[in-house]
Amino acid sequence: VTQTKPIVPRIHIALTHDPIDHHSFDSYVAHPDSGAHAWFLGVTRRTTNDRITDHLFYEAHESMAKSQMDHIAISAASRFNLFAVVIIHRLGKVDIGQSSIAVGCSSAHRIESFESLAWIMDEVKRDVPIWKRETYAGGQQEWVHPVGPS
Amino acid sequence: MKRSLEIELFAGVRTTLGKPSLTIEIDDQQTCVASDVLQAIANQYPEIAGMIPACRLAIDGVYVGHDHTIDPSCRFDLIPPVSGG
Repeated sequence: VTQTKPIVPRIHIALTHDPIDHHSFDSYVAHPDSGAHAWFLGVTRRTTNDRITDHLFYEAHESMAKSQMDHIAISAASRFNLFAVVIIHRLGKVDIGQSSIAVGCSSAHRIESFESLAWIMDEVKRDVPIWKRETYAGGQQEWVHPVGPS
Repeated sequence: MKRSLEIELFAGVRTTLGKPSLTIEIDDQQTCVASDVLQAIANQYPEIAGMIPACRLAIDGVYVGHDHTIDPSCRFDLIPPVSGG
């Protein structure tokens, strides 16, 4: 009998001050019954409207952020029948083009992976206590506290 | 009788006040809920009063609703709108 539904999904969450190498988790998300591996990378964007960003800086309530990320990953695995979930968030200075977050997963079919990445990112952006501070090209700094969906 | 609560601050709220935590006084004789704490912060720290309606209170690392009863022995965090991802 072919196993198509994960029994114990693999969950890895982390906060890191180092650049994120999501390829190092390719084997972690692999599963012989998976037909889809998917990754989302959130990266520092240079232009927002007419403002030029020099870099971002992220800080977290670390213990609470890890707890929230763990909860989101476990919920996603159950909700979308995932074999594995990885959520890694960067802290500290993140330059243009570098990843601030990597979310990876695997599932039997592509639709679960596609949908889970969007769902996980929405949950992260709503509940995980991590904040970014923009430093603009002119040196001005500003914490980002969005009100409503972002 | 009054009792002090220390509340940890983050990001823009911390930067605006220029310190990592704040202290509020609450009435020890009456039942205090989370919304009372948020209101007390707004009253006692007008510099950040405009930010409080968008903030959440976390107790011992868990978000709580406005009607959650306060145990002063817990850890309190003022969580402004998050912007990770």
